[in-house]
Amino acid sequence: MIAVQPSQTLVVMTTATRRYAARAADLSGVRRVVPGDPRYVMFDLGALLDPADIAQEPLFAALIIPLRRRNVALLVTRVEHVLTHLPEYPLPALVQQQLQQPWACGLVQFEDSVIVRLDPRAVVRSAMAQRRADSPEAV
Amino acid sequence: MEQRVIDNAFKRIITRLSGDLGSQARVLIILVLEFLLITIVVGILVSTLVQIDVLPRDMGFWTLIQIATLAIVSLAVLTAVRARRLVLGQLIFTYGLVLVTVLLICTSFGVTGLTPACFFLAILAAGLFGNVGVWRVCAVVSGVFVILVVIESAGVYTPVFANREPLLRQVMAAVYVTSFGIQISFMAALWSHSNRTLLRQSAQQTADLAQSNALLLAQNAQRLAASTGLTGSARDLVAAAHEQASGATQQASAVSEVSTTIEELGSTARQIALAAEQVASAARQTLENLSSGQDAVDRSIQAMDRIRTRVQDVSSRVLHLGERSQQIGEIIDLINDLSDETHLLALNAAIEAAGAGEHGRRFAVVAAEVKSLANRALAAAKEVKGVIAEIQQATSAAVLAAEEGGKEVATGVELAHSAGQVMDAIVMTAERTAQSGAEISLATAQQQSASEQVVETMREIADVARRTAQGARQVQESAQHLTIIAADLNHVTDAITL
Repeated sequence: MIAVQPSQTLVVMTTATRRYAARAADLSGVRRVVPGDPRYVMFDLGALLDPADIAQEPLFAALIIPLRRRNVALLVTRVEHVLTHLPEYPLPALVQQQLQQPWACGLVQFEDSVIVRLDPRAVVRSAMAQRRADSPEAV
Repeated sequence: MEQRVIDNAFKRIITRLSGDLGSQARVLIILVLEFLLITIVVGILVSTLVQIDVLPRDMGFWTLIQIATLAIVSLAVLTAVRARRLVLGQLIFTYGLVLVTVLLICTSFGVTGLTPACFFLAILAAGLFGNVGVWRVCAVVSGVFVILVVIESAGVYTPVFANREPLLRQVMAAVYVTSFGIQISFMAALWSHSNRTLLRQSAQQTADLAQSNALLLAQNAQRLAASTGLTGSARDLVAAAHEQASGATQQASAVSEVSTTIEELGSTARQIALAAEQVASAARQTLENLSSGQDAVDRSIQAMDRIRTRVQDVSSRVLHLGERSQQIGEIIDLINDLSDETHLLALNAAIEAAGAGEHGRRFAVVAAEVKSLANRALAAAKEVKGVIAEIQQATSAAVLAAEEGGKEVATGVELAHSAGQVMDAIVMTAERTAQSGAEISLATAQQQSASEQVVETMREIADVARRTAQGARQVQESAQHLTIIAADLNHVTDAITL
């Protein structure tokens, strides 16, 4: 059975074609960033999760995830809401074990649809690791 | 020139044939002088013989009588020659010789002596002169001798040497024979010289005659050639006169045709003058119509200019409106950005309020309102931006339409100007047409007058041509007569040449 967990504050954002949710506690904030800003390491969230989900216009809204030494900005098309008391369903352990990357940690029912709740820190760690593997000197 | 040479040759020949008077006078004078010389010598010899008493003194007297007689005869001869009476001088000399011979017979040995031989001298002189009748002199001498014989036989006189000693008779005979021989020899020499001169003159005259004959032959040949050429020229003249008559007739016919043609040209010129007058009238009417059309074109050009100014004004205003819309769009973009920022601030405030728990609930409500306000502002800004975009699109279309209208107006203005220029050109052409029509009318009138004059002149030329034809026919007849005359002359020349 899928158990409904207690309510948390979630941030709902949209990429080019999809909508995701993340815990507000995992973020240091939501910012408007300029491409090439040296204070952040930037990743396109939609492209990380689905190579077909590519934004056609420049992205300025970003979820800021603080790491130990750097702040990472996950670029999204728009951050829509900050909500509480949404019904949330954690992923079953069997499903979670079958994931290639541990980026999704539950489902949230929002309005008439169900959206994936992400673990932004896991996403950022995987992206940073992949970037180090691709070009070590760049990171 | 050649005729003059021939005439001179004939004159020279005729002069010599009529007798060389100078030569005959010279012969006569020489004979006179020779006889005088011999007589003087004989006289001196006789006088000397008388002085040395070889001859008696009466011999000297008779000798002087003879010398005196001979001197008188010689003077008479010289006087006649000086008076250019040569024949008279020759007669005096001849018959003087007869007289001297008679005296010599009477004063010497008589008719039976040697002295009658001196009558031969007179006969020889007569033959030598040629102008004195030899036979007449011979008859005279014979008569005189007969008379002397009769007289001497009758004893009327006695010869001086009849009864003298033989020596004296021999000496005188020797003197007479010597002097007679000398005179005979001299006259023979003169005869011979005269014959040679005559032969030489005859040869010269023969040569001159041959030369003159040759010249005459050459002249006859030239006349023959000239007569032949005359025949040809007469024939050519006949042909030329025939051609001239034919040409004059053709000329009269051609002149008549030209007169007819020029009369037709005059009639055509009148028609052209009428047509030119109609053209000039039409050109003037066209000019009046074109003047009103030109005014309309000018007014349309002015109206087009005003439209162009208005369109340019509208275009400028629409462009200004577009610029203002652009500014509004920029403001809307700024509002958009502010709404985004506000939205993000509201989100962050909501996150912070959620992190504050129960204490941040009311702050979360405010943040939610702010977020809602930002969303509404964003939606309004988006709506305004859409309107602005529509306005800008409409403005751009209006500007484009205004520009197109301006271009069309400019094209219309250019066309109107072109139409004005074409109208100007048409006006100028119409003016020139009217002027040319008037000039053509005047020129055709002058042409008509000139053609009438030409027709009159052609009539005169035709009359002259007819008279020329008549004259040519007369010349042809004269040339035919000349041909006949030339043929006759040819026949005569051929007869002379043969």
